[in-house]
Amino acid sequence: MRWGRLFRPGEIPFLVGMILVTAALSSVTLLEGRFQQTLIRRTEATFGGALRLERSEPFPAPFLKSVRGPLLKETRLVRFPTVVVHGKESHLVELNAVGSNYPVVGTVALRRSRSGGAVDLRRGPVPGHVWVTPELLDALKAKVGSRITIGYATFRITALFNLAPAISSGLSLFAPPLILNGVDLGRTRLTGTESRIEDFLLAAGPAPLLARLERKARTWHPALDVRIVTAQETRSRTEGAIGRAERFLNLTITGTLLLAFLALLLSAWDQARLERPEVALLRAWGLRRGPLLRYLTRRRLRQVGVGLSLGAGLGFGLYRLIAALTTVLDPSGGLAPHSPWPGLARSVVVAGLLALASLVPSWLWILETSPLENFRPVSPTHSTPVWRRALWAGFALIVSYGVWTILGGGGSLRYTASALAVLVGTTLIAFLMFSGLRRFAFQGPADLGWVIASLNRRSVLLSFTLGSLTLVVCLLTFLLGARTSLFSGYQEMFSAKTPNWFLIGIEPGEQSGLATALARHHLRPAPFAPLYIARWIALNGKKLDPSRITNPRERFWALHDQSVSAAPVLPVGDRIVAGHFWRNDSNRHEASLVRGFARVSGSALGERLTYRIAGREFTVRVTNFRHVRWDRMTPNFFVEVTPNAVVDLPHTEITSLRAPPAARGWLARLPRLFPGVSTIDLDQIIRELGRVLTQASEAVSVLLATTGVAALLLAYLVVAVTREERARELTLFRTLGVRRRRIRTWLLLEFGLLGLISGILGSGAAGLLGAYEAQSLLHLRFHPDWQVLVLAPVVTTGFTLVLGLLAMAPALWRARSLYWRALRAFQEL
Amino acid sequence: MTPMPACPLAIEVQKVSYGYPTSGAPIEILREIDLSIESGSSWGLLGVSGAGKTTLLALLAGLELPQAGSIRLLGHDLATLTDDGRADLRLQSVGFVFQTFHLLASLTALENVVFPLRLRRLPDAVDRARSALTAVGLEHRLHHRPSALSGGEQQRVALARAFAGSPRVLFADEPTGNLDAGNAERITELLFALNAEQGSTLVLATHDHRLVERCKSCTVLEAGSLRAAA
Ligand SMILES: Nc1ncnc2c1ncn2[C@@H]1O[C@H](COP(=O)(O)OP(=O)(O)O)[C@@H](O)[C@H]1O
Ligand SMILES: [Mg+2]
Repeated sequence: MRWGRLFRPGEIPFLVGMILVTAALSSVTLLEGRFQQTLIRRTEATFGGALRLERSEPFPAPFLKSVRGPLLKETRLVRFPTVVVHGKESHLVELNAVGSNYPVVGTVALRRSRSGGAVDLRRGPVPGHVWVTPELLDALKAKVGSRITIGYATFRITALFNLAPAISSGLSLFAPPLILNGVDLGRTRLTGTESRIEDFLLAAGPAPLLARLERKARTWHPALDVRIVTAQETRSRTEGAIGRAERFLNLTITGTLLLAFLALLLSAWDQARLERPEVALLRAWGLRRGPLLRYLTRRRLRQVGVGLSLGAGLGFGLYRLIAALTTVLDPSGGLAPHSPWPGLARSVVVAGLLALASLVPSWLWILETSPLENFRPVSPTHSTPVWRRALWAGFALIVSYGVWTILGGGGSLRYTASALAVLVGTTLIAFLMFSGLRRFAFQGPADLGWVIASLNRRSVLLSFTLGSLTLVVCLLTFLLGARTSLFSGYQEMFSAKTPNWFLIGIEPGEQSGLATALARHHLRPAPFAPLYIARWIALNGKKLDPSRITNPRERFWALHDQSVSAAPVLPVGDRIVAGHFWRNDSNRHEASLVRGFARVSGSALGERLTYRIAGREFTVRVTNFRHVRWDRMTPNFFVEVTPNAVVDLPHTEITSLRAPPAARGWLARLPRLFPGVSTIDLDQIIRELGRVLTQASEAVSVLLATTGVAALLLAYLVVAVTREERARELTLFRTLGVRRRRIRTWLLLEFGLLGLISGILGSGAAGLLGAYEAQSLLHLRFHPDWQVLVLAPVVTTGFTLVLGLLAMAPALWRARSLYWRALRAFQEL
Repeated sequence: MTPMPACPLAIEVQKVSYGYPTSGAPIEILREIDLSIESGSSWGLLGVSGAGKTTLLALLAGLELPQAGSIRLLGHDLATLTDDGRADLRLQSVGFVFQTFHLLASLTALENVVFPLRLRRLPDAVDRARSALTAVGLEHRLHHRPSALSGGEQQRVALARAFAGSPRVLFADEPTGNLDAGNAERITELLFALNAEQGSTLVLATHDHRLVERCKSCTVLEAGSLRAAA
């Protein structure tokens, strides 16, 4: 069958609808499969054992000795951030020092060079060697075989890895992981009692032995302060992350499906209206129902086949595009090859079902056609009532959703329902708005009145279109405009004077030397602040038992070390919001908390907090709450205490400074001169953050675009199904004496208004959303990207204008005699 | 709009010929027609279906221009007016009633009548529309859409729409063609009553003798020419 005959012009929207449904379903399915794969791989990698004990201090040697046994496989892993140096380059890394049994589960995929093939190894690096990620290699401008400096020792990079069991963290974007052998840790001299480390004991083996280990960890004396994590727990946490991503995918998929399905129904209907008189004539001529049905069915099946194939192809292309856009979300790059076919097949089946379902009502309608019909023309408005069509559409959607679920499609009913609720909500708002406007349509100027009345002729359909357009515009504008402006708000913190480098881990002995060296390079650091790694152990004299604490935040702080600082005077820029800050010469033991922190940790003024640092305890009374301007980028802490509370306790110093680009090289080499010092280049981190944000936004925008196209298709059809009615009106207007230009203005106004209203509402909502996110959630000044916010309504208006005129084109074309000549209205239409 | 020159003749036609353009030779529908209709009178055009009545009405209303001859409507030579000029003339001074009603389906009965008045920026549009609808006995159906009205009621709305603007000329093309006898009777009564009341010029085309008999003057269109009715 030739293309031209398979799809008549009136059937093109049906084809587009089918392609959209299939493409949206398959691209989202494939994308979700990819997310799942990544996250499952990551869970295994992150976890690296069946049981994991975590501490913020090194495990005591007697404990480690006591857990060793022949059947239990266990290894230690010590992790902390530090800076590595290669030539003129330096970079923050997350150092992982692994024990001899590493890894207890899984393998490390290693490569000798960037392009080389990977080998799976069941061991860590030998002493003197380190393994790094390709990103770190690039950042350091190093090669495999290069020598790098870590603390006081040098190492040779001997291999590259992407993911390794238990090695991967949320920080990995800014501080890529690095693996070295645990016996080398001493040589670096980076782990004093004052440093912040995480010590892991990873174990795998028979369940009873694991249970025994868990028991031992809980009952060890003195108390171990150990966090016990099982693989199961971690999995559910990552699944939570998948869930959030899925919620969004569900919104787009439900939106696209619903819109495209509606478009399918409408276009099928429109088509049936054109076909029905032909069928009536054929019936009148004596053609029987059977052959007619067979002919129509064959034709429809062919059309559906073409639509599905094109849609699946487009879906696969979209998926590849999104995958390419989101490399940053998947640093390992080489995911386990995952076959796209099951996902594609499932999408095609369900899309096919929807397409066929959309055809049934119009099909039946055609078959009802009586041969008499040509003698007794029925007006199209007297066809099947709306409720019957709506009922059918709902039924078809439920069945398709059921098939989708049975075939193992993703998504949960709850998310689909919430997506539906959002759509129905916006539709309702649009409907109320329009019916409100409609009521007053002819109170004002006639032109506007007519435009509103004309827009309103299919008010439910119009509201749905408008609502979904608004939603799409809002989300797209938010992602493209408001969201990235958050990023510029972030960057804006770096005014000419704001510090852009942090120096951490300064040992007290290095402080004066460092200050001199900085001064020589005309760098003026903020006042040095001491940093104590402290564990909160008691409240008002009562020992905390983490297993008994129900408030998750409180529990978190009881299980993790906190950074505590000491200050004789209120840090510059801080403001006291409750209580009084201590006097310079106070000899009491007091604490000052950041108010936001006090709120989440449930602290109140007057409470006594007991901390432990390196085995020694001290108690402070909370006497005031502070408000902190974090954007000053000077060292500041949730908890400040009076200096005499922490006399002689081990600590490091921390400072920040503003460095011009020229000083970058020298700062990068600083850890060479002061091996304990880690440098953090904030500019670099912000750039990285920006890259992640942009990539994620772009990927989501591509997905949203399918929803957008579906909404626009619907806008087109809303006009197309009323084309004949509109054409009749245009001739009538000419007859009654309306000038051409005025009619043209009405058309443009009407189609443009549809886009303009949804554009303005959507872009406005996006602006509000952005402002809310910036000011209430991130406490940044909001800088809307006006270009995008203004462009959004303009572009949407452009789209609906063009689509509206396109939908009217066959009528406008057909006829100078129809539109431009009034004559026809006079004759019987 | 320039003020209307006062003239005794509402319509003046001289030697008008018209044929629809086709690919071959044009089909002559009207041949050298001469005609004049006095202001305030009623003029009936009788002819069988296909005789060219609608075509002639369209020419008189300036919807189309003749290939030859001249037409003056309310003192304006239609050929010298621009398309916009003819449109303005229709909007301000002409009313129409069609065989198939041609109401706007998305507007209520009242809005259908108000809309053309609003297009003319008449200040008392709603009041005029209300009284016009009351005059045709539809004061209780103001807010109904055409789809909720019967054929007779729809044609009454169309009459209200035509007369609410106080047209100086009213063209009615088979106004009862789509109605049963009872409704046709009622529409006819209303049409002539309102016309008499407003003093407008009525141009009525129909194939129905009984309708034409009520007109002051009457002509038959046959084979492209006009001849006096028997
Ligand atoms: N657009 C057109 N193109 C060609 N011929 C037409 C067109 N409209 C009408 N005609 C022809 O002109 C003749 C007169 O039509 P019309 O004025 O509608 O007649 P009446 O109103 O008297 O029934 C008819 O023979 C018809 O076939
Ligand atoms: Mg006719």
